[in-house]
Order: sequence, then C-alpha cells, then structure tokens
Amino acid sequence: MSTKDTGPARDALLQGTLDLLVLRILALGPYHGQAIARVIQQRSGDTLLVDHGSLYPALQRLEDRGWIKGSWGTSENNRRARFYSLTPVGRKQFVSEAGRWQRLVESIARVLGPELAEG
Amino acid sequence: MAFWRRAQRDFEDEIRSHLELETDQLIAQGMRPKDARLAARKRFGNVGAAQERYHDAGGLLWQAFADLRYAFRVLRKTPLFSAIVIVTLALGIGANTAAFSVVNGVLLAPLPYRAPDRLVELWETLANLDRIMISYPDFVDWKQRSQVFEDIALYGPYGGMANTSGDIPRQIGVGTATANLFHLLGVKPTIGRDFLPSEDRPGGTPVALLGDSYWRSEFAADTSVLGRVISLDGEPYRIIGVLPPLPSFKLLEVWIPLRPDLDTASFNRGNHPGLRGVGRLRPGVSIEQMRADLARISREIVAEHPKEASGIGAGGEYLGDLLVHNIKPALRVLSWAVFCVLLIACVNVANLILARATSRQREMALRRALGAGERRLMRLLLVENLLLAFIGGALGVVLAYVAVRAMVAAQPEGVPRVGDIHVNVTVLLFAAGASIVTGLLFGLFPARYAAAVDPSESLKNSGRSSSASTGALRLRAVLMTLEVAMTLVLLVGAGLLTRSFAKLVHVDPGVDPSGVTTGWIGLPAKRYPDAERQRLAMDDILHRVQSIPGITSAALTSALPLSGNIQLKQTFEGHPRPKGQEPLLQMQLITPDYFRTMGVRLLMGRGFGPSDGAKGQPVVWIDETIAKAYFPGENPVGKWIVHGGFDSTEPKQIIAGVVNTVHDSGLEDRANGIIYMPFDQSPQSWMALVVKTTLPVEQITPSIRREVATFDKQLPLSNEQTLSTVIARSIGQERFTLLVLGNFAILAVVLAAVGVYGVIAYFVAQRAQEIGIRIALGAQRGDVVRLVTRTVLVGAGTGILLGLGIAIVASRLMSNLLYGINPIDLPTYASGAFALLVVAAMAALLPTARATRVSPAIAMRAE
Repeated sequence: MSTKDTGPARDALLQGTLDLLVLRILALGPYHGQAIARVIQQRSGDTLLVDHGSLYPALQRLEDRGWIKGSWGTSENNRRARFYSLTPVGRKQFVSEAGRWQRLVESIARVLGPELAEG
Repeated sequence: MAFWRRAQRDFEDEIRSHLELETDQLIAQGMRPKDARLAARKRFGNVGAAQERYHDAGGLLWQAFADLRYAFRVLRKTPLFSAIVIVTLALGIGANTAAFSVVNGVLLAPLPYRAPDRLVELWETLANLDRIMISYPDFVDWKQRSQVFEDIALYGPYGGMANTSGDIPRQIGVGTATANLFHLLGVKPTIGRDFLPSEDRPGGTPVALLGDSYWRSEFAADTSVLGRVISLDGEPYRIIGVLPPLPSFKLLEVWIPLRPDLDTASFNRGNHPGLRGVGRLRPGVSIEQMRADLARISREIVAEHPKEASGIGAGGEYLGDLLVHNIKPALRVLSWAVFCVLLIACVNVANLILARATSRQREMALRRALGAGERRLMRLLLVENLLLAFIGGALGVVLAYVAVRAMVAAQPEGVPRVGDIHVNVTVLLFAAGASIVTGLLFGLFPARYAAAVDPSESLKNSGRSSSASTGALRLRAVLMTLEVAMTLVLLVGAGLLTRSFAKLVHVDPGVDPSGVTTGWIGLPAKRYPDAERQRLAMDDILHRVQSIPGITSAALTSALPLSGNIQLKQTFEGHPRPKGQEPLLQMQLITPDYFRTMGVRLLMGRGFGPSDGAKGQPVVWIDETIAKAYFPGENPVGKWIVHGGFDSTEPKQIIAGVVNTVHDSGLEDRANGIIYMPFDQSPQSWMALVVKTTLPVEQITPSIRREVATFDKQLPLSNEQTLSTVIARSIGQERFTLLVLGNFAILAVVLAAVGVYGVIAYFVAQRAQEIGIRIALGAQRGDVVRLVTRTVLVGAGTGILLGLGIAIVASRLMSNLLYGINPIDLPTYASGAFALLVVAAMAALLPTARATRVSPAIAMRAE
C-alpha cells in the first residue's frame, strides 16, 4: 500500500494501520469514504494523511472479509454516497485488533525507553 | 473472501461520489470550484490504479473474468483472425470429438451386460479348422464337467424363419437359445419375462421374446404385445417379453428357446449345427485357464466318443474383444489420423498467433513498461488462447454431432455397436479436455515468446515492425518442419488406403453382376421334410420364375459369390493326401443355368446338361484355381473327386468341366476355388435364387415374389439384393474405413496445405526487409531467391524426412487394413513427398519474388 508524504508535519500511514483506523472510525457510526478520510485526518490533528486512492480498495477489502457493510445513502449536503457500517464480526475484529495495537505500541515504547520518549 | 462482488460500475460511482464530496468540502473551505475539483482529483491520485487494485484485491474468479472480458475485446477487434483460428480449431477438435464418439461407443463403453468382462464366446475346433459350431452333446458335457464357468449357454444365430402372422410371409432372423442365455448375460426383458428353465426342455410351451428393434418396427413399441401370438413358419409362438438392444446379436429379431428334442438328428454328437456358446467365467478365472479346462474336457470327450468326436477341441474369446476384433485396427488408425489433424490445426494456429504476437510486440512492451509482470502477460495471452480454443471446441462439438449423426444414419457395414455411438457426457468431457490441451499446446510457446519481450529494446524500435527476432524465426522453422512432417504422414496414410481400395475394387469377382438380382428361399422343415420334396419344390419355383417375362435366365445356388459357404474335405483322383491334410474346399450346389446367369465362363469340358439330373452320373465342375492347384499340368476333365479322405466311401464325382475362378469369400481374400455340384443330385432346403433380367430390378422383384407366393403362400423371398450390392457389401468395411479416413485425410491435407503455405509464406515475409537490404547492397535477385528458397527447402526437406520416418513406422499400424500393397509402398511415399515439396517451393517462391520486386529504396525507408 503506497502512502503519500505531502509535508514534514504529516506522517505516512504505517503499513496495515489503515484498516484499523477505518474500523475505529466506523465504530463511531456509519460514514462514507470521503468522511472516513476527513475524520482520520482531523482526529490525528491533521498529522495522518489518508491516501484517497488506497482508501477505497481498502474499504472493498474489508467488505469482502465481511467486517464492514456498505450501502448507498445520501450525504449531509444531499449527495449520493456509499455509507459503511461495522458488522458484528467487524466490531469483534476491531476490539481484538485495537488491543493488539495497544500492546504493540506499549512494548515499542518500553523498548525505546523514557529518555527518547521525553526527548 | 467474497466469491462475487458488486459491479465495477458501482465502484466507479463510489469514486465519483468521493470526488464530488471532496470538492464540496474544499469549496466550503474557500477554494474556487475549479481549483477544488483539481485538488480533489490530485488528492485521490490515479483513479485507474485504484480500480486496478480493486481488481487485484478481488477473487481469482474476478481476475479471470476481467481477463476474459479483455480477451473477448481483443478477439472482437480482429474478427478475421479470430474466425480463421476458431474454424481451424473447430475442424481439429471436431474431428477428434467425432472420432472419440466412435471409439467410445464401439470400443470403450462396456457392453450392456452384467460384468461384461467375464463373458466369453465359445466354439469347437477340428484338426484343421480353428472354429466350428458346437455339438449339443459336447455342450452338455462342458456344462457338467467344466470348473471355470458360473454358467454356459448355447444359442443359434443363423436361424431364419418366415413370420407368417400377416398376409405376406416375411423372412426374419430368429435366434434360438438355451433358456439361461439372457440370465447369464445379465439382460432382463424391458417388458414381460425371460424364458423359464422348463421352456427349452421336452414339453416346454412354444414362446418367443421380441428383439428391441423388431418390437419397435413391427409392433410400433406396443406394450400390449405380451400374450399375443406370432406365427413362425406356420407355428404359433406366444410372445412373453421384449429384450433390450443386444449389440452382440443385432441381426436377430425374435428369440425362441432352443429345443434339441424337436430335431434329434441335428443334435447328435457328430453333428455341429449352427450353434455358438456363451460362457460367464467365475471371478478371477483367466481366458487361458478357461481354454485349458475346455481342452481337458475335449480330450475326455474324444476318448469317450472316438468315432463321432474325433479331432474335436474347443476354444473361446472374450465377447467384447470378438465383437470389435475387425474394426479395432481401423479405429486405431482413425484415432491417430485425427490426432494428426489436431496437431496440424495447432501448428497452423500457433503460427497465426505467433504472427500476431509480432505485431502486438509493442502492446506487450508497453504493458511491461507500465509494470505488468511477465507472468501476468502470459496469463493474459493464455486466457485469450484458451478462449479461442473453447469457442473452437464448442463449434467442433457441433460439427462432431452432425458428423456422428450422419455416420450412424448411414449404418456402415461391418461396424459393430453403431447404436452405441453418441455425443454424450463422456464425449463432451473429452472435447473440453481436448480444447484445454489444444489451447495450451498452440498458445504456450507463442505466449512465452511474446510475454518475454524486453520493453526497452522493443520500445526503442517503436514505429516499425521490428525484423523477426532469432527466437521467433527458430520457432517458426520448427513449426514449418513439424507441419510438413505431419502432413506427409497423413498424405501417405490416405494414399495407401486409396490405392489399396482401388486395387480391391478392381479385383475381378469372377462373375458379371449386370442385371443380376438375388433372393433367398428357405423351405420350412415341417412341410418339406426330405430331400425329394425339397428338390421338387425348388425345381417348381425355379420353373415358375424362369417363365416370368423379362427374365433371360434364372438359377438356384447354395451360395452367392464372396459370401462364403460350406467347406468339405476333398480328395482328387491321382493326388491322395495323408489323413488330416485333405484340402477343405467350398462346395456349391447349382442348377443348370447358373453359369449363364452369373456370366461364369466354361474354360474346358462341357456345360451343365439335361443329363445331370437326380438320377444321372454324379458330376462336378471345378474352377481354374482348383484345376491349377490340384491337377497341375493335367487335363482334369473326366477325372474324379470324392468327399473325404483317400479311403472315402462316398460316391466318386466326375469332373465335367472347368470354369473361371469366382471369389468365394471377401474380395480381399485369395480365391480358394469352388466345386460346383448339380442341386438335383444333393438337394437342400435353403437356396438363393439368381436371376438375370433385362428389366429394371425394382420391376422384376415383385414378380418373383408373386411367383414364389403362388407356389406356397407361406414362403417368403428374403434378403433380396442385386449382385452388385452383394459385391459392394463384401467390401463394406473397407469402404467405410476409406470413406472416414479419406475424409479426414482430405480435411487434414487442406488444413496442412494452407498451413504449410502460410507458415512458409510468413517465414519469407518476415525476411522481406532483409531481402530489401541485400538487394540495396547489390545482391542479384536470383541470388536472393535462391537463398530464401534454399532455407525453406532445407526446412521442408527436414520435415519430409521426419514425416517419411514417422510414416514408415505408422504404416505398420495400417498393415491389416491394406489389400494388395506394401505398407511401405514407394510410389505413395514418393508422390506424397513430391506434392509437399511443390507446395513448399510455391510457398517460398511467390512471396520471395514479391519481396525482390520491392524497390530497395522503399524497403530501406520502411526499415
């Protein structure tokens, strides 16, 4: 999955993290693709930039796995858009994936040590 | 993973929706609409790539579907190319599918009996005869003493009886069988019941089982026939059931129980009436064990009955093998021939694809430059080729269906189990398999060659068709050689068969068939029990027929030419042979006008005269073959011959004359010689009427039938056919083989000639630029033509040598299909090779000549 680097303040998404972020956003409620990209960007304080071109194949992949479900609806400004929501399987998947991510981050932080974390 | 997903259009809609939403938002943030649209697009990146990734993320099925859609598009864009390829493949696959339908129906599909691999046919042998009919008491001994059979049965396939149920009696084939025959075979009547064990014993009620086709043709498949009465030779038989189709007994229309008690004379130990045996081996018993067991019993029988059973032995063979024994070599050759056709079709198509691959080189290079892997390109090309193969295969199945229908409808002589030849599921699976193999065969090499293109090299050459790479040239040279070789093999095969058949047709049968027609008369034993009554009846019928206007002559005979007949041991005056080594010669009973009617010429001695009647001196006429073989350098007229060995007590017969040789069995067999005897001196109940007429045959046959009926209302004339038909039928199987193989060979030769020409012409065309350069550099036209022609002739020559080698080996397969010519028949091989050389030379010369006429300037500019 390619990532796009558009500036020093913005970090490329780590491989495999896009799926988790999408699941996280959809845990809040149904969103369409463009909104998912926006919300990720906003919630990361504009540091994470989602490659729009990669988002849709990713959504398709999640839908293929049966974790999310898409259906056509109408956006806030009356445009036709495809809204995604978590399936029960997807919700379970999100919980376990999120836990794993949390543990991974903590482990990495321990390895890196407090000096670096503070510096 | 989802097996199937939403349509691509839906995905595209979603992307469009995203772009709109993004644009809206950017406008809301203060961008000008035009900039906002641009920015949204830029943020999204490559839309096509997203779609591509959407595909790649999809299932294999989805990818295959995408490839297939692409392949369809490509094929539609080049309709002529696609059509040529598809038709070529359809012919190749169709020929193979049709041939496989025949092989499957005749050879592979098991016989419709229970455990058919344990069924054997049985017979007896005599000192110098490897197959004679079974004596009933011997059969009873086998049944009681053998240890290898679950059961054995006896049947008589040669029975002819008149169906006297209607106004006009009609001769039909009636099988007699021991009551256990159908149970042994594992065949159950489709309606009604089988024979009861009591029905082949003294006191059994007369019952009949109808054969499937007779039930359909005669009784319109009416299920209420059960319990009705069918009258055979004037005797009533109650119909108890209908049998399913029985491929081993297809000429028999009605079956009745075999009743040895009704004709005790025929069923004594020394008599071998027309009976054959069928046995079911116990599981695990081999045919050799069976033969050994029967040999043991035969030895016991000979020891116990030294007089009646002297020299008796026994033999047997698997029922299935026996049925297809004659057709197997023809089918084997057919299979190889159609395989050759398919190979030629593959080579043609491979060449076409290769040619197109060259023109598609830039497309492939571009795809590779854009990141498509070699494997991905190969997959794409293979899908294209497989698609072509499958369309060709589907069309081929249609062709095969039509061909098989036509063949079955023709009811070819000598081909067993024609009714079992269908285009069924097995055949369809075969066609699908053949299509896949074909698609891989013709597609793999060109695809590898095309996909392995080097993008930088190829794109640098952009704008002109690059001159042929060495790899492609080499591949094409190999194709050329292969194509020439395969074609030569087929040409030789077809040539051998044609020459063989021509020889067969030109064999002089020894009779003049023009205006001669024949029909059989069988006197039922009930009403004509003795020789005297049979003689009077036959003579009376003959006189009536002779008086019919338009008939120039008429006679009776016990055998028709080419049809085989009873053979008896003979001893010739002055030439005794040791016991057991007496020649077996065909005896034929005739009436005085036989020679005149059949156009048989008297060479020596006198003709058949009025003095040669019942009470006259026993006389015979022999033919030239016998005269030469047994009276070398002597005048045989006036000498005697006698049935049996030198100590025979039979009356001596004086040789009255010598006639020209008439073929006794098939035209392909050497004539063994025939001994003719006056019918009146040895009457029998089953005779053929031969009539020479100046009128059309269709007019004369009803008059003959009418005359026979005025003599005896219940007497049918059966198996009416012209003598020409008798002769044509005797080579029916050869005719069929030639027809089928000949058609395939013509197809193959056309395909191959086109292919050889195409392959070579393309090979030369690829070098057009080279030719132009050579000429620009000062080469003489003649030199260039010679150069190219030499390359082609070397390739074609290699192919011809290879083909000759294969043909020499392959023709051995054909040796027993050939008559009168050597499988390695030089003229056939030479003319085949020569014809191919001419095609190759033409294919080389014409395009080369064209290439040399192109002005060097143009050729250079094109380069």
